[in-house]
This record gives sequence, structure tokens and C-alpha cells, in this order.
Amino acid sequence: MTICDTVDQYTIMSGDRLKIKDLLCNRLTECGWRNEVRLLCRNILLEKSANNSVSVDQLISEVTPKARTLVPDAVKKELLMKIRTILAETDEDN
Amino acid sequence: MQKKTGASKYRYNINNSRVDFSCVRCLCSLCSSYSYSVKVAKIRRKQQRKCDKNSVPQPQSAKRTKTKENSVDSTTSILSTGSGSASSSSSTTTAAASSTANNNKRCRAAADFVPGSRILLPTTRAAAAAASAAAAASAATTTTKAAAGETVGSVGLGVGGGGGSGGQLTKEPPLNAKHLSVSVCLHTVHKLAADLHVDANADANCDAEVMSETGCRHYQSYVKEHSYDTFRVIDAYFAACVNRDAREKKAIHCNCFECGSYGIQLYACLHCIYFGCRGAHITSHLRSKKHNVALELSHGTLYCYACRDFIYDNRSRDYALINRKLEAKDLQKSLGWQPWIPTPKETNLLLANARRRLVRPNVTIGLRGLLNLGATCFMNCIVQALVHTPLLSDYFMSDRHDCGSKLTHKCLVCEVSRLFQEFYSGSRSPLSLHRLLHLIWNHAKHLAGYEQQDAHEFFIATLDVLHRHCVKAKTEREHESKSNSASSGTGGGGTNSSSSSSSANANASHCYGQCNCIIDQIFTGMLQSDVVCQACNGVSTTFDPFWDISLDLGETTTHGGVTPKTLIDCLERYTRAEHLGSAAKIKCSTCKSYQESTKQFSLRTLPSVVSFHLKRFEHSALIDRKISSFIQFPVEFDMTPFMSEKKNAYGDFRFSLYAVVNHVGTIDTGHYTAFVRHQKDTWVKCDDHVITMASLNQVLESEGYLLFYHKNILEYE
Repeated sequence: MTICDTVDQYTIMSGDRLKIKDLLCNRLTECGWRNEVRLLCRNILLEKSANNSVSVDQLISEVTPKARTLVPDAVKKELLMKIRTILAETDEDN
Repeated sequence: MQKKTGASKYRYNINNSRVDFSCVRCLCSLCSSYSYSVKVAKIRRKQQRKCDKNSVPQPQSAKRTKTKENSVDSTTSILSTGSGSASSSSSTTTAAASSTANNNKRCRAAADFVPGSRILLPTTRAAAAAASAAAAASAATTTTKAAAGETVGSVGLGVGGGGGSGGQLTKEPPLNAKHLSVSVCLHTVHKLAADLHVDANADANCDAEVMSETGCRHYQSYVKEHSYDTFRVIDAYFAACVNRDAREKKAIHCNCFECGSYGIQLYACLHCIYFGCRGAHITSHLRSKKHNVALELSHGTLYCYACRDFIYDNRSRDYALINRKLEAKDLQKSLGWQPWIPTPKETNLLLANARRRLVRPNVTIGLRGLLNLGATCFMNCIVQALVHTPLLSDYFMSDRHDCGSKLTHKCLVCEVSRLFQEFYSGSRSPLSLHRLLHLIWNHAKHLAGYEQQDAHEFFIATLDVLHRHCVKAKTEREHESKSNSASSGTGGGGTNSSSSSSSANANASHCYGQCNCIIDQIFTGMLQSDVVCQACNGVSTTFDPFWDISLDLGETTTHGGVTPKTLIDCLERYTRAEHLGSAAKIKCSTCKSYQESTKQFSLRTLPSVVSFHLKRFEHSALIDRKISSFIQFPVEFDMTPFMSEKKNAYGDFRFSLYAVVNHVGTIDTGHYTAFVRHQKDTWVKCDDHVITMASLNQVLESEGYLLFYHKNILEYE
């Protein structure tokens, strides 16, 4: 079991994972990222669906790199800080 | 005879739902006997059909199972569920678990067996899972804490790098065998859902009437065969995690059976116990086992392999929503984003107001020319800039101004609110601002009359009046609510103290820059000025609120007569330390004497909208003149270099240009026009009643008198 797995397991167990996820989802909605990605998907569908339908996997592979670059740095920074504090706290507990 | 049928029903129940968690623990789907267990399941299913034919009511049997299980003590329950799953490695579990009660040594040996080779061999993985379960069980059964600690320690060693937190996991309350059966889980889910429905009305049910999505035919046939129970339990325990127990189970069991990772996107097969990463891992399972339906665990979406697509089913969605609500309640977090489904009330509201507008690119909604009422172009251009301020339009379009005053025709904020309605009404005829002008005249006497006025002066005056009216509306509202509470309140003492405190608040909010009205929220920033004493280097700092930044354009007197060429130059000059000279000595608080000093401005906090005023009109003793030099200004602008605290880790001070006010003419007479950003990358030129499209280059090449920048990223307070 790697450190990564242990951290995964611990955060899932304590519920922190879900809280972080919740925070991230809210931030992405608030900063308009969700709408932008939605628009991105829409445009791809409009472009490509003319001749044949687009599968979910195709759409994901096309949107993911663009969507990643669209995530604002402030959101990343905040998330990083949050995760750091959570892990520091659990480190102190042990 | 009676007893025997009861037992068979019990077994059938386990296999029917097939989400027996003890199975997850021994990971039987990986061991060689997996196909056997499936076969057993098939046989059992046949038995079930027979049972159905015997017309045994289903709920009753489930109920009986429940009571039966609750009565069985934990060890025997492990035994029974273990044998129910009918796999070879499950015997390890049972052996280890049953031995724990009186044999700690063996248990520890099992725990030592955990080593990192987990990922390599499926069988060791199974053993590891069994061992950790056994360790947990031993922690519960041993009365002495020391022994438990030892077990934990050995597991921690086995995990290696994971160290402390690995140990932490096993320290958690043991996985009680009683909780491992699906019927109990289902019971928990049912109970929690019932609790939820007591305090929250069943919104889900009315939603269901509006939508009609029933998944695909594969899912329908799946549901017909297996009911929704499996979905509900898997969703509640592994996707939404309704309680602590569920999170624990997810943390321990929910990893990819192929690569062992706790990956970002795991899928759970709804036909058997199998978790797999998105992509090859889960699809190969679904293909080889001819299973169709899987649940994506990070969002709780159903996936149909036969359709190669995600599917949406109403009832599943309702159950999932209940689980999400439970999860949110348990962790005290928000429910997260949910697709908007109009309630019946909202539907009626929408039907009643059929006139709707779709905002597309190249739609002119939000643009209106403004009539010139006789040299009122200074007002028109400011109004255009204000109406196109995103935060301000958000505020007014969502109807947030609640005017306490009964004389709303006297309130400038109400007038601006009306103005927004006019701008977005869709009408294209030019608008007359006589009411606004009249209100301004009444409240800012120095602007009254038909003379040409300075747009900057008008802008500041407008903000001031808007700010005053916001405060007034707020205090009047407070006053009203206060008098209401005073008349309805019974106790004299309480209301007295509250009224005095709120009036104190009202007084405080009258101070400039102290209140929380929309104008201050958007336009007020804080300027820091540091005066450094040349004798002792003591710094005295003062803070001043500002609504705009006025920038000098003339030649600098000190630094060799340089004229600024760009907005950045101007700002650098503005924030440069300035020697106050011997003529203006300031009393230093530390030296207690008058000393020469330097003064430096910096920006403490920035407002959401920064407006720059380029001082093109120079009034000096000798001559009044207009400086028409070209000042270059950027579209995107990072203000970080001009902040007081440059190393603020959280700050993001990037701004975008959204409006430019220009003056054409001389100092005595001239005309104002405005460029405003209508939509992203769409600029228009507003020249009184004429509105024309403009290019970004046109905007950037214009002279610029007032520049309006909007913050890109809004921070939280």
C-alpha cells in the first residue's frame, strides 16, 4: 500500500474527502467554470453531431485537457491550502 | 419443516441482493471460485422464482431475516455470511475471525501477513483484507487496550510507508459482522431516509412527476429482476456515504479490483461485487461477465455497458437524492450542485410570464441609446458605464434593492433600478434620463443647470448620492422593523437595548467607507499612505477609502521632467515615494519634533471595480488647459505591483477593462462618448442616442478620460 492509497483511505474515512470535493464543486460553479465547460461540450456536440453522434468517452477525452486549463489558479491554490491543513491536522493527531 | 424453509429463505435473501459485504471483504470475485459463486447465485435465483411462485410475500421474508440476523451474535453471523458467499478464501476470513475471540497471537500473525505485495497477487489481497478485518475484530474482542494497540502496530508495520494513518484506520471501531449484510444496510438506508422525510418534505416525489426518464431497456430489465435495493445500498454506502459506517466501508473495501487504486473514478458493478477504475478495468469485467449495469461512484451516475452510455432513471435519481441529502446532513456540508428542476410553483410562474428573452451573441438587449437633454452627454456616458458594470447589473437585475422609503420617486437607487429594467426591456428606442437628471440636481446642487459638466465629477456625485440613499433605505428598513418589533414585543428591556445598538450601527454606517451597501461593496477600495520620518525612519501609516484613482499626466517636477506614457507609468508615479521637502515638515510621533519626511501611497485593498481618472484638465494659476497626450492602457491589468502587501498568498489582482469614457474637444467645450463592453469581446460605442459596434483596437487607441476596470476573480469575505 502506497502513501497515496493511505491518504486516500484516511480522507475517505474521515469524510474530509467529501468535504473537499464539495468545496471544489461549489467553487467551480461559483467561478463559472461549470458553465464554461458546459459551453465547451455544447460546442463540440454542435460541431461533431452533424455527421454522427459523439460518444461520452470521445467527449470526455476532448473536453478534459481544455477543462483542466480552465480551472482558475485561485481555486487550485485554495484547495491546496485546504488539503495541506487537513493533512497537517491529522499528522498532529497521530 | 417450518424452520427449514425459514433457513432457505435466509440464504436466498443474501444471494438475491448479492451485495453481501463479507464477500467484498474476502474479494471472492478474484479468487478462482468466483464462477462457482455466480453459479450458486444463479441456482439461488431459480430457487427464488420458485419461492415467488409459492406466493410468499417478499417484504415479510425480508423482515423475518432482519429479526433473525439481529438476534444472531456477531461471530456466528460472520460464519453464516461467510459460508453464504461460498468461496474458498472466505474460509480464511472465518477462520481468522472465529479464532480472534480467544487467540490473539494467531490474529497478529495474520496481520503480519499483510505485506505490500497486496497489489500483485489477488489471493494475498484477499488474505490481507481478511487479516485487517480480523485485526479489527480482535480490537473489539480483546478487553485490554494494550493488546489492541499491538495489533494496530503490526498492521501499521505491514503497511510500511503509510505508517501512522494506516494504523489509524484499524483503530476505528471494528467492522461488526452484524453490519455486513445487505439487508441490514438496506434497513439503515430505509430508516435514515424515513428520518429525512420527516423533517424535509418529499421534494423528490414532486420532481418525479415532472421528469420522465426511465433509463434504458437494459436497466429496466435489471430493475425488474433485482429491484432497486442493490442500487440503493451501493449508492448509500459507496457513492454518497450516508454515515460514518458507510465511509469506513468505502475506505476499506472500495478500491479497484484490478490495480488496487482508490482511483478518482471508480465504478461498481451492480450485478456482483466488483469495483473497477474507469476505462479498461471495469469494462473488461462487464464484458467478460456479461453484466450490464454499473454505478459510477464519484457522482453516482448509472452506466449501461450494453448502451455504452450513462443512463438516467427517475426512481434511482430520487433514491440517490435522498442519499445525497443524508450525506450532506451527516457531514454538515452543502448538497452541492443539483440540476435545476422547476417545482410546480416555478412552472406556473414561468407559464404565467411567457415573455422571455434568449441572450445570444449579437443580441442587442442591454443596449440603449440615451437622448441628449441639452449638454447631458457627461451623464449619458457615466450611465452607460454604470449599466454595463457586471456586479451592479447583477444586483439590480436580481431586484435586490428594497427601498424602505415610501417616497420611492425620490430615491436615486430606485431610479437606477428602473433604468436597468428599461435597458433590458428589449426596446431599441433611445431613453430619456430626465428623472435621473432631476434627482441628481436635487441631491447634488453643484451639478444643477444646463451647463457642461465634468463626467468625473458627475460619476463621484452619483456614487455619493447612491451610497447615501442605500444607507437611508437600510436605516429606514431597520427603523420600521424595529418599530414593528417594539409594538409587538412584550418585554420592554430587551427591545430597548436592541434599538440603541441598531441606531449606533446606523450612525456608524453613515460614515464614508464603513457601510456595506452595494456601492461600497463594488467601488470602495482602501489607500494606504506611509509617511516615513527621515530622522528616525519611523513610519506612520494612515488608511483612506477611495472610489477612484486620479492620475497626473503632466511633467513630473522631480525626476527630470518625464511625462508618463502608459497607465502603468502613471500608477508607478502615483505610488512612488515622494519627498515632502523642507517646506512641509511633519511632526514625527517618535522624534516628537518636526522633521523632513517622505510619503508613499500604496493600495491596501482594491475594490471590485477600479476606475482611473486621467487628469486631462489642468487648472493652474497660469493657464487652464487640456492635456491630450496619448496614454496607453491595457485590456488585462494585474495590479499586484501596486499593492501594499505584495506577498499576499490569496490575492488575485487581475482586472479587465470594461468601459472607457472619452472627451473630445477643449477644456471649455466638448463632447463625451463612451466605449462599453457589451458581451465578452464585443465592444460598442455609445454616443448619446447613437450606438455603434466598435473594435477593441478602436477602444485602445482612444484618448481615455475615465477607465473602468473590473476584477476578474472575486474573493470571499
